[in-house]
Amino acid sequence: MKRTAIAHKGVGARIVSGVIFAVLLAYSLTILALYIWVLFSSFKTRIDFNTNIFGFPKTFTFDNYKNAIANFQVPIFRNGRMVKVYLEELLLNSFLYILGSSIAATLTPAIVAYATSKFDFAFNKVLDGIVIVTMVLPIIGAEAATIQMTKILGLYDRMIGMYFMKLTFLGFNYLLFKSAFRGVDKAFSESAYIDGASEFRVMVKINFPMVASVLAIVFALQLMGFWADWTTPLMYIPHKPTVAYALYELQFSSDPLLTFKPLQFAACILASLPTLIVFIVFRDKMMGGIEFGGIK
Amino acid sequence: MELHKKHTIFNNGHRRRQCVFYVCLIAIPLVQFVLMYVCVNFRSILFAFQKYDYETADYAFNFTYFAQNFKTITSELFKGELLGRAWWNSIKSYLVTLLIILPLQVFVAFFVYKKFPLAGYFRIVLYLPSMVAGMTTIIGFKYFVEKGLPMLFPNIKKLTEFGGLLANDSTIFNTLLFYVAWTSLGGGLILMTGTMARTDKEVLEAAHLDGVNLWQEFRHVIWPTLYPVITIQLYTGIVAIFTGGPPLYQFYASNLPNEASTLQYYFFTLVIGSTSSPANYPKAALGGILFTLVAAPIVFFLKWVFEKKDPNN
Repeated sequence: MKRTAIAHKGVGARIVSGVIFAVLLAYSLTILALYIWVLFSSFKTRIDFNTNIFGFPKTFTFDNYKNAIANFQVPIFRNGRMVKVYLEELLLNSFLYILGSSIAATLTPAIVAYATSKFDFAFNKVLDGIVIVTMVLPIIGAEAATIQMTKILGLYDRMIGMYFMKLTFLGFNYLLFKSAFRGVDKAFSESAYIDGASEFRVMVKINFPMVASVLAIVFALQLMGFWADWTTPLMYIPHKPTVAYALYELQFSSDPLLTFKPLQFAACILASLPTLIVFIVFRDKMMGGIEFGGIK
Repeated sequence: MELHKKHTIFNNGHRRRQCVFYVCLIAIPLVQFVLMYVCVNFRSILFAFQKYDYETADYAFNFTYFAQNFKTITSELFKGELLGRAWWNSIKSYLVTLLIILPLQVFVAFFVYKKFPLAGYFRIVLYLPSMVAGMTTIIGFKYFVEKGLPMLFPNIKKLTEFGGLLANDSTIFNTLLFYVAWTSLGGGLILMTGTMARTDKEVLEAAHLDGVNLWQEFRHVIWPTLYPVITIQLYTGIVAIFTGGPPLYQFYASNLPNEASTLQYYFFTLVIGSTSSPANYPKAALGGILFTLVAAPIVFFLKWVFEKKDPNN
């Protein structure tokens, strides 16, 4: 039988636990209340919303969702004139941005971590050192130079440029993968070598599947992060706006239709669906948590 | 007696093949690192010696421009009224994160890790702000503060005077700090509960047999496991004074009242948005370099201190 942590504690501990539980429950309800309010408001008509802000919708309408899909757009300057970018193009840009970026940002640290954890070369120390130093001491205020650099390299305002920017092994995920690959028993690889497998085959067919759950968690977190990321598109691909960027601009829109809050809420809920789906698919893996082993 | 000869790429074919494969694996990421980190930072340093020429729409280089840029940025940083406020707000935001948000994140994670009643519910609900589109929470919160709160509490004058909490210069920053704290408590759940789960089961069982209470279990069993995660956040968090803070640009774009500005917002709006200009780039880059020079010794000192105090050693 499953037992909770407080089931076998004394009276004092139960009181403390009860208070903590009550506070946490109250806090969680405030968060839940906001999203439930946003959800209900998205089904309200204009009159209903204006006269009944916090109440249950008197009549449910999907008009806000229909209008959000039909009219969700962001104005941008393109070829010297103002044009509106609609949902189809926003979705396409988002899809291209998150898929390519997530693959690049997941596989790059995994591959470099594999190299440094499985092969004994002196250069491993250099790579480990780079990761640690850049993690401990990120360079501040590099945006101006990064924008300039992407322009010099021809990466600015190009999706392929975004992918190149994400091909980085720096950061926490490198340590995560390194810890995971170190945990894979060498005997599997050695058996494969004896059977004549190539280095590439040993990596792809033996070692990567062994850390599949870490790869899945990192990939899922990257997907969610890039889907919500509006600053990178704003800074580096200004002519390829994504859904997240359009959503950010939505709150400052002067279009009378788009300023209607329930429509904005409907757009937000639609935009949240992909991350909710990713979360549901990877829920067990993600909520199982990720371990931090790390190197010093 | 034959000495054991070390395999190198020069005397062993397998080692040579390994080396080729190794180079193939790291080549592209290394090129990316050189271009997007080393060259970017070199470009930042170069900016410090440059000035934007409006006539040629390009940057002119001269060693004397460094002195000019340095004078501009230091006078803005230490004399300007705007940045005086920004310094204070940035430090306040860092202290709130350090002293309130981080301990509460650990507390919440421990609660969930211990599988208290409804732990599954808390895991999902507290992670919701990270799950839904970020603007959902911002737009919802904004509207609730602007319209909802005054309706719920019509007698509280503070909620409506000068346009409400998010329009009143003196309340904007604290309201946004509250927003950050309110939405961040579940932020460390995945990492922290995962790390807590790594705690040696035998040690845990031994502690339970000794009759430890929850606090003792946390202090003596869980804390050593969590220590590397927390301390990394603590010493790398120093940089957050210059790069962190509430999501000001998300709420206000370039229209934030000066009273609520942070260093991060100030530098961000030098290069992005309606107040940005290529002429600001040298100033922004030099400011970043100066901040890095200030933060670096503090970060390394804290790293050294925390490693000395590591209960796992």
